Amino acid sequence: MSLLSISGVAKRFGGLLANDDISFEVGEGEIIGLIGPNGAGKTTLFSCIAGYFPVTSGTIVFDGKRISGLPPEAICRRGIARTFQIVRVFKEMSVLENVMVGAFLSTSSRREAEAHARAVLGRVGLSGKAESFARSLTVSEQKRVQLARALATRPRLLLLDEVMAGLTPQEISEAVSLVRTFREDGLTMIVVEHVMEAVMPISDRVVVLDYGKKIAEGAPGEIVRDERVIEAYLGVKHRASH
Amino acid sequence: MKAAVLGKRGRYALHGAMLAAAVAYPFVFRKPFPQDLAIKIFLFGGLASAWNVLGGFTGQVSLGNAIFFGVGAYATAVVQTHWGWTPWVGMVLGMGVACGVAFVIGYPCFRLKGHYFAMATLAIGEVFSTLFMNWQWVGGAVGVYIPLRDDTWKYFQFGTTKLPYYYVTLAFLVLALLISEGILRSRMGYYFRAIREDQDAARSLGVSARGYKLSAIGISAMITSLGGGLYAQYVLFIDPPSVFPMMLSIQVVLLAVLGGVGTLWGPVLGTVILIPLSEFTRIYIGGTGSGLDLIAYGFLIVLVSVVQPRGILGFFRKGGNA
Amino acid sequence: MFLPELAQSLLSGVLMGLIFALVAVGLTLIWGIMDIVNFAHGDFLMTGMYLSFWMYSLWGIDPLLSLPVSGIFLFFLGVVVYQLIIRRILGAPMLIQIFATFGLMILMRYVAFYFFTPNYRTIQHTFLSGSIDLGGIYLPVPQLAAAAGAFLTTGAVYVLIHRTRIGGALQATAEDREAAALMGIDTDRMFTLAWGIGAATAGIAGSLLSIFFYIFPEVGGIFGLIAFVAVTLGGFGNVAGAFVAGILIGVIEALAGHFYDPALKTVFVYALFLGVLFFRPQGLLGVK
Repeated sequence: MSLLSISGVAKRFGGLLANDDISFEVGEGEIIGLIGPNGAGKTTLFSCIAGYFPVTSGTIVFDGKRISGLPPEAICRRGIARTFQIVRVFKEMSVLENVMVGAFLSTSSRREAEAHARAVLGRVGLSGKAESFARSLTVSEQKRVQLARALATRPRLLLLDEVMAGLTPQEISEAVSLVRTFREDGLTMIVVEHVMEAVMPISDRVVVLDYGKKIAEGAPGEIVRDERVIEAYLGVKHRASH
Repeated sequence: MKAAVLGKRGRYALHGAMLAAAVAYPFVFRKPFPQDLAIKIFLFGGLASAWNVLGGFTGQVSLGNAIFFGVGAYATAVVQTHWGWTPWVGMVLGMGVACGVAFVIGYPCFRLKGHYFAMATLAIGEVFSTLFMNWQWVGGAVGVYIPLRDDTWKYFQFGTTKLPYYYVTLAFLVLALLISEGILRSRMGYYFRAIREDQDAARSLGVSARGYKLSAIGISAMITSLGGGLYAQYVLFIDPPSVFPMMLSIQVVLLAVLGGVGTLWGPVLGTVILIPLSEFTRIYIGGTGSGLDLIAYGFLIVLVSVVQPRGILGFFRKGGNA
Repeated sequence: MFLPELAQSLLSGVLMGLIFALVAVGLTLIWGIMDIVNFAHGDFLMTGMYLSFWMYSLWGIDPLLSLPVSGIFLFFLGVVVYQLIIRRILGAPMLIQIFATFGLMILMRYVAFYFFTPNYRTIQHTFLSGSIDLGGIYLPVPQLAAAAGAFLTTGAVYVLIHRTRIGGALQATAEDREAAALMGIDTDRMFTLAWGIGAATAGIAGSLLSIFFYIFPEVGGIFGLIAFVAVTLGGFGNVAGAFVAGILIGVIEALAGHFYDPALKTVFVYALFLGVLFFRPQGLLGVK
C-alpha cells in the first residue's frame, strides 16, 4: 500500500483552476520529483497536501487515512513535514531555537528538544551556527535551517519545495548527498524542483505538471525524452521548429 | 543580556538582591508617597508583563487589555457590594470571568490579521466601557464604592498602613515575572514566539496557532484581571472611566515597548522609568487633567517607534528576544 | 406623524454621511497606498476644526473662507508627519507601525487639550444660517453647505485619483510598489503626496464640520473611528467605496439614534465595525 495517495485532486481559486484532476501514488521510501513550468500548480499541490488549502475536489490519503481537509498542524502531527519555497525561518530566534520548535512536536521537555535539535543540526551541517540569529544567515543557510526544522518533527513524508533554487553547484551536490542520506533513513520525499541536475539523479519517479494537469509520470530517463514534457517546457517555439 | 554577562549564579544573586531591596524598601522609605509610587510600579509592571505575554511573546497586539483589568476590578468590587463575599473570592472569580471573556474575544478576533486584530481589540474595549457605563446592576456611570472597613486581611483593606498593599502587589509582580519566565523556557514559549514570527510556518511544524493564541490571551487576561482586583481594593472606588479606559490599554503597551517588547525584563524596565516620570510630571508640572503627561506619553510613543523600536533593552541586545 | 421625523433623520444622516465620506476618502488613500493604518487621521480633522475656529475667533474669518487655509496647512502637516515619522517605520514590525500613528494621535489630541482646554466651542455666526423648509423637513443651511462642500471635495479627490496622471501614479504605487518603482515612479514622493492629500481632506472636513458641530479635542476620536469603519466597509484604497460607505454609516448612525438611544449611537458604529471585520473584511465593494 502506498504511503501517500492523491486521487483526482483539484483546487480552484475563483476563476483559476490551479490543480486539475491530479492523481498519483507515493510508495514508502520513494523519492518523487514533481516538476513542471512556472505556474503549473506544484506549490499549490504541496499546500493542499500540507493542509493550507482545502481541496476543491478529490481526496488525499496518507498512511491509509484521509487527510484532505485537515489543518496544517494536524497534518504535521500525522507525519508530513514541508519546507516553503520562499524561506520562512523564525528570524528573531536563533538557529537552534528554530529547530527546537520542530523538535518540540515529540516532546515537551526543553532538554530533550534541544538535544534532538542539535543532532539534526549536525546532520545538515549547521552545528557551528546554532546560536546565531536566523536572520543573520545567508539564504542557502536559512534553507538548511528550514530543512532541519522540518526534519526535527520526525516526519515520514517530507515535502521539499525548491530547496535547490539559488544554490551554487557545490551546494547543490552537497544537498543531493544530504537528501540521499535521508532516504537511507527511510524518509519518503516529494521534491519540487526547477534545477534538473538536482532532481533527476535523486528521483525514483517523476511527475510532471503543466497548467494544473498531470501530463506525464515515469522514471527520470523516460521523462526527459517524453514529447509532451519537452513541449510543456519549451512551448510552441519548439513545436514550430519540428 | 544579564545571563550573558553574569552566568547562572550571578543572575540568581542579582535577583535575590533586587528582591531583598524591594522587601526592605518600605522600611527605608516610610512616607506614603514613595510607598504609593512603588505600589503603582509593581501593579503596572505586572500589567505590562501580562500584556507582554500576548503582545510581546506571541505578537498579537492587543489594544484592549483594559477590558480584563476592568473585569477583575468589577468582579472584586461587586462580590462585596452585592453578596458580601471577600475580595479574594472576587479576584479569583474575576480571573475566571476574564479568561472566559478572553476566549470569547480571541476566538473570532484571532482570525484577523495584524492591524485588524489591534483595531478589533480597541473597538471591543470601547464597547465594554460603554456597556458598563449603562449597566445599572454594577452601578452604571456612578461606579461602585467598596464598603469601608477597619484594617482587615479577610477583606483586604488597610486604612492605617500601606505595607500590606505593598507586599501583595510586589508578590503580584513577582508572580507575573515568574509566569513569564516559565513560559519563555517552556515549549509554550517557543511556540508563542514561532507564532509571532511566522504563523503559517509554525503550523507546518505542528503548532496549533489558534490553541496557543487562546492560551496567550487567557494567561494575559487572568494576570491583568488580578491586577484589576488589587487596584479596586487599593482605591476602594471604581467606575468605567477609571478601569476601562483606552489610555490604560495603551499605557501597558507603551511600558512594555519602551523597556523592550518581548523580553522578560522589558516591561518592568519600562515601568520603573515611566511611572515615576509620569507621577512627578503629574504633581509638579501638570496636575491631573491638564493633558501634559499625556502629551509626554504621545511624544514618547512616537519617539520610541521611530528611534528605537526594540526599546531600551534593545540598546543592550545584539538582536532578538529572550 | 412618524414619517417626517424619520425622513428628517435620514436626511440629516445623509448630510453627515457626506462629511464622513470625505474623512474616509483621505484615510483610504493613505491606507491603500502604503498599508499603514493612520490612527491619527481623526486628529487631522480636529486640527482643521480648531484652525477654522481660531481664524474665526481671532480675525473674524468665516469658516468657508478659511477652508483653503485649512487644506493647505493640513497638507503640509501631512507631508511633515510622513517625512519625520512614517518614512522611518515603513519597514518596521506591525506593532511599531500601529504604535507610531497611535502615539501621534495621543500627542496631537493632548496638545490641543492642553492649549485649548477641553471646553466645547462653537462658531456662532457664520455666513450661512437658517434652514430650508422642505414640506415639514428642515435642512439647516450650515449642514447643507458643509455637506455640499464635502461632496465637492470628494469629487475633486476622485477626479485627481482617476483622471490625472499623478493620480494614475498614485494608483500604480498602491497596486504594486515595486512595479511602479520600476516604471520610474518615485514612490517616496507618492507616499508624501498621499499623506498630504489625506491630511488635507481631513482638515477640510474639519473646517466644514466646524460650521455646525462642536469643536473639542476629542472630536477626532469618533470621526476617526467612523472613517475606519467606512474604509473597512468600502475597501482599502477604494475612493468610491469609502464615499458610499461614509454615507451609509451616516444613515445608519442617524437611524440608530432615531430608533434607539442617541447615546448608544457610538456603540452601534463599533458593533458595525466589528461586524465588518469579522464577516466581510474585504469590504462591501472589495474583492478578496
